[in-house]
Formats: sequence, C-alpha cells, structure tokens
Amino acid sequence: MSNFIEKTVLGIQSTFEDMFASDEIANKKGLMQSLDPRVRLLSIILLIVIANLGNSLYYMAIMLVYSLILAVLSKIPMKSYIARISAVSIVFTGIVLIPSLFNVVRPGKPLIYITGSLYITKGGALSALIFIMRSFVSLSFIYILTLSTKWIEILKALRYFKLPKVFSATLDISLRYITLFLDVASNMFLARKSRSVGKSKGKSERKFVASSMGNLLIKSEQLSDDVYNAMISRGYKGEYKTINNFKISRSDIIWIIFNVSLFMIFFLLKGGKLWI
Amino acid sequence: MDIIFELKNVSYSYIKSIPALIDVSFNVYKGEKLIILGANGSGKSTLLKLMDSLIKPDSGDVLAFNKSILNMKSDEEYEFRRKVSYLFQDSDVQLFNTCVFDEVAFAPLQMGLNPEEVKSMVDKTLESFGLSKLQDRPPHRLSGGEKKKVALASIMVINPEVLLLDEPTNGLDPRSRKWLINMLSNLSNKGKTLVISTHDLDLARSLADRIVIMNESHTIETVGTPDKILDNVKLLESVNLI
Repeated sequence: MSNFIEKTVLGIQSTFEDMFASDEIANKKGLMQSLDPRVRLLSIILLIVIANLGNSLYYMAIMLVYSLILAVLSKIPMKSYIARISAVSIVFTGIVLIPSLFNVVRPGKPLIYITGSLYITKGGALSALIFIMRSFVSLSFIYILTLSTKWIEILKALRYFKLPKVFSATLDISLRYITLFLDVASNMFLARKSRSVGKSKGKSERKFVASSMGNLLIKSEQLSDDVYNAMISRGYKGEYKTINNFKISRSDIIWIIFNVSLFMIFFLLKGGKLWI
Repeated sequence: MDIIFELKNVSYSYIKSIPALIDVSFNVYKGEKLIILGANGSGKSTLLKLMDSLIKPDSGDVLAFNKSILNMKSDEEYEFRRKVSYLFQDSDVQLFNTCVFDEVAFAPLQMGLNPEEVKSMVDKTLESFGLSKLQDRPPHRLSGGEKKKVALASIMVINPEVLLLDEPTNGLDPRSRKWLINMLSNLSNKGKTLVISTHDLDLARSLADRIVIMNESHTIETVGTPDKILDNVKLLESVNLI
C-alpha cells in the first residue's frame, strides 16, 4: 500500500515541479509570452467563453485550429500538449458522452446500427463530436495559459482583477509550501525505505502511512504558526499587500485589435446574423 | 550606554508543566553584538520570539526602547516592527512569497510605504546583497546559502536598528557562512544592534561583544565577555556546549 502511496506522492511531486516550478516555456519568446499577464488571463477567459458559445461543427473546427495555432506560436511542446489534452477531452469526456450517442437516450436518424433496435444516431454523434471539440479547445486555452505564464504572474493578474486578497494570499502561500510538504513526504518514504529490508507486512505499511499523515499534519500546523509569526514580524496586519510591474505594450494592443476584429468578423458573417 | 532591550524576570512555557524559560533577566545595549549561547532546547529561540513580541511571557516584562512590548498599540507596534527585525532559524519559514522580489518587498509594503519607493528600496537591497539576478526566482528553488541571503535581505530592506538572529549560520556551507559573518560585522560597524542565538562557539568568538549563556534548566547560567566565557572549559561543559 505504501508503495502505491509513495509512487503517488512522488508522481504528484514531479507533476507539481513541472507545473509550478518549470518556467522554461514561460521564459521562451512566444506569442502569449509577449503579452502582459493581465491581457493573457483575460484573453484566455474570453476565448473560453467565445468557444463555448458555438454550436456548429464549422465554428468549433475554426476554434480548434485557432487554439492549435496559438499553441504553436506560443512555443508549447506539441507532442505532450496534444497527448495530455486529447487524453482528457477524448477519453474522459468521451466516456461521459457514450449514452447520448444512442437512440434510447437521444432519438434521431440512425447512423450505425448496433442491434436491430439500438443504434447510434446522427444527431447524437454530431453533438458528442462538438462537445469533445469544445472541451479540447477550452482545455487547450487553459493549458497554453498555464505553460506560457509563470504561476506568480497568474496570481498577480488575478489579484489585479480584484480576486479577494484572502484567496490570492492563500493561493500564494499554498503554491509556496506545497512543494516543501511534498519534499517532506517523499523524504519520509525514503527514510523508511533506507531502514527496511525485504517486503513489509500490510499492517505495518498501513501503520506507517497513517503515522506519516499524522506527522505531516503536525508539521504543517507548526509551520503555519511559524510562517504567520514571520509575517507578523515583518509588519503584516491582516491585509496582504503586494506590488506588480505590469505594463501594456504595443504587442498587447495589436493582439487585442486582432482578436476583436477576428471575432467581430466571425459573428457578423452571413448577413450580420450570429454564425455559431 | 543606551538600553535597547530590558528583560525583567521573564518566564515562559509552551505547555504548563514544561518550562521553556525561567526567570530570565538581562539587558541589550545599543550597538552591541550580544550572543545568546546555549545547547539545543535551552530556550534561545523562545527568548528571541519574546523579544520580537511574537509570544507573550507568562510572567515578567520585556521592554524595548524603554517601553513595554507586551501590550503595544497599533502605532507603537508599527514603530517597533520598523526598528526591530527577526531572522528565523529556518529560512523556509521566512520565505513565504512566490518570488525573491516579492519577498524583499513584503515588509515595506505591509508597513504602508509607497510602491514606487518600495521598488527602489528593493532594487537597492537586492543589489547590495548580490541578489538582483535571482529576483524572479521562487525561494524554494534556491540553495541554503541563497535562501539565507534572501531572508536577511528581506529584513534589512527596512533598515532596522536591531536584528534578532536565530542560529543564522546553521546549515550554511563555509563560503556562505563566511559571507554572513562579514555581513553581520559590517552591519555592526554601521551601528546596528545584533542579538544572535547560537550554539556555534566560533561564531561567538568572531562576533561577540558580550555573551549570555543559557543552561539546560532554561535559566541564565552567566553573562560575560567572550574572553571570560569562551576559555572557561568547565562552564562550557556544564551547559553542554563542548
């Protein structure tokens, strides 16, 4: 059991290191990286809203191509991008959508017969495809934002948009200490491993896991006390004040004008009627 | 000589049955380098936390700049925090921001200084500590020596009069340790008052003007000058320092 938990902790640790600590992609000179973090955050939120307004296959296909071009121009590693986003949007969303493909849930014109009375409908298949594309596009935008922007900048941008300070401070501190606790947890497993020979019994494994969890909880409580004292000592009075260096540049303005024009054209195509 | 801190019969316990400090009294004078020397668990860190008004004694009084710090009003606390800074033993405790720049900017921002002024203060401090290149780095990705530098920079940015330093040389490699001792010497030459808790006898020898020895019964064993204390083998053995 602890082997499973150990692997999980180490897995979470490396994922977090990847997600939060690696600034490699955020430091590249790409399209998203050239924008002000506030513009990046707001653009991604708006793009997700715009993508989810659509209900036609053409529109979703255009948004999908848009997200892929954005990823390429932002120097996102395409192999892992496609693999990760597809895994979530096709596998997980796909599983949820399976019942809606069939005529028993959503009656319609038959596309593929499974048995005499059970078949996949045209309408069901089309809406499942649109739904999967929509989830792919939305996830893509989030993925592009998180890889092209340092977490510190995302948090600062959220703070700029008046996210209550108590949330942003909690996110800040969680982000800071989650890696420390994952370090402590993985060291506990390593320390145990260094003193173990052979295979341990299930009971002792469970005992170890429970005591590690308890230890970690006590440590986190002590640490939170100390961190609070360190904040008080430096003048904290309950309001977490911060500073930011955001500046709107020419590339932000070009980006805004380009996107506003592009989506205006989309929406006004076909005689001024909404084309989604 | 001006008295900066005055501890009068201070006692403290985290759990009632186990005392952390018993009847501790001593003074800290302006501009001096006072070393609090004691074995692990003798109460050195607790003593510094009391002096920084982070915890309150069970009995006795702590005076800073001739005023009790036990029940400070908001403006008195503001003044106190601007004058007195505390360097924690574990740098990870002190470095809770997501990047080095924010860490150093934290204290002046909380004290209500103008953001433009804070930016220039932080830039100057980072430069004087040789940390400018690290300003966007998250603290948890720094080495032990770099963390200590950032922690010290984060308290020095407001130019305090008194520094309370809890085991500052713990876990540092020889180069970082040498840098820290030189930095503390320079700060002392600039008139800062340093109160340092440690069990590092070499640090005490290289810096101390006066030494307070804490024993394992959580009381003060003796107070004296380095030459009288550091060459007294019997005394050091009795308090578990050698």
